[in-house]
Amino acid sequence: MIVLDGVTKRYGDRTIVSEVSLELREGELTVFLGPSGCGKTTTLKLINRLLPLTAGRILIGSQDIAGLEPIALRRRIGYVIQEVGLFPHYRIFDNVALVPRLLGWPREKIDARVLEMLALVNLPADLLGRFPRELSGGQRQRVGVARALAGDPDILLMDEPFGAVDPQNRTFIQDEFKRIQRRLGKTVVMVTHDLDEALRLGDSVALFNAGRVEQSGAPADLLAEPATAFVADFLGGDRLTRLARLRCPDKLEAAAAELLAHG
Amino acid sequence: MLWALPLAAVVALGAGLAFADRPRGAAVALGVANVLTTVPSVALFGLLIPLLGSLGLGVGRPPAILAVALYSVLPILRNAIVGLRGVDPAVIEAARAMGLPDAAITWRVRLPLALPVILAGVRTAVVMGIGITAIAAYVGAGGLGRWVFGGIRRSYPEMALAGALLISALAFAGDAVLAWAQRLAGRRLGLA
Repeated sequence: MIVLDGVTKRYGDRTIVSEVSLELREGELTVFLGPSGCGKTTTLKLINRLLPLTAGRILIGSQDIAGLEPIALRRRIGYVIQEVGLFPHYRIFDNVALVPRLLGWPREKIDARVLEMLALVNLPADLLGRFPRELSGGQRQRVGVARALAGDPDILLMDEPFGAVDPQNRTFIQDEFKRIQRRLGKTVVMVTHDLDEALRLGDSVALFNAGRVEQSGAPADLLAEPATAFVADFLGGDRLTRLARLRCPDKLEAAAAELLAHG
Repeated sequence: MLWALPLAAVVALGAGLAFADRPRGAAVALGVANVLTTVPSVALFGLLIPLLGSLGLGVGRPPAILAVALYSVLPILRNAIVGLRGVDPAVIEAARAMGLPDAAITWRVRLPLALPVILAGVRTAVVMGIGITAIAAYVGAGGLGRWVFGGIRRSYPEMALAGALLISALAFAGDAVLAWAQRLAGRRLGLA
């Protein structure tokens, strides 16, 4: 479990993240959702200490990350970003083998792990000798996921991971990723501004606005009972249709009843 | 020339690494290197000879080496800063997030990715350095420049021509070799 407790990030007198407190459950996919500039990416980067906290604490398991060595911490947390950020001068094999090598795994174990990861993200093994620029955007994004999982981290942080994938393939890759995540039981934190993505993938959603969490909970709960006007507005006028699509008839009925009661 | 280039490369790369992430420092370093390059070579020799003379190193090779090194710093420094800054920030962010220590990010990610651009700077430095080395014959540093100056002084155009052609050939060759190295680096690094 990851616990964010009063997490705050300021640059000078600008507050980017303000007293965010959340509990991210183990083995679940939690989405940080919100408009751009709402502090969701900053919060993500506080978890693997790419950015230093201004105030508050973050616990992984029961350990305060402030007491951990950042390099060691990052090696046990996978990281995927929209731009992928593969090393252009490393072949695919070496890109995926990066963290296992840093962790000092024996050679045979690394070789086997790289093959396993490539199969996991549905890429053919003959790509291993290629350079990133010889792959398509979608293939590179898969390699990015393989690289992030190669060191067998318990936690995976993802920043708009499918934002650059073309719309035809996006749904497919999302579903595929969701299956992988379920199977591996990783704790995933995914940042997105895409409502559909958040509702489709998230076990839990934290909706950010201006550095604060407006509401967090299961997607169906947010849709059925938006806590604030901002949440209702962000979810849109068709939130009940979306809720129906999540196939939770009981909640839909309750929300419809409430809507009728309040006019 | 053979001494000057490594000297310049070490200084320029060191400064480039130090200043690549500090825009203000980079501006100052580039400004200083720019001023040095603006001083005409004959004038620079005029400055260096009395300066080094006070150390007993007035004429001959020392001022030549120092002058060529000073001129070579600018192109290498400029390209080092441009090259290091040009590395995709997403790659550096990913490297940090994977748990690469800062030194490893510099040596294994930033420098290799900036290498083709840095080599382009070295290429400029080599061609310019060969030209200045030729002029350095004037202050007794020897080399092919002696033929040119000697030929002119003795009204012996064939000798001057031979020197000039050889110097030009050397510059062309240096340029070609480094152009090849630059392409090779790009290819080996999977960048082109």
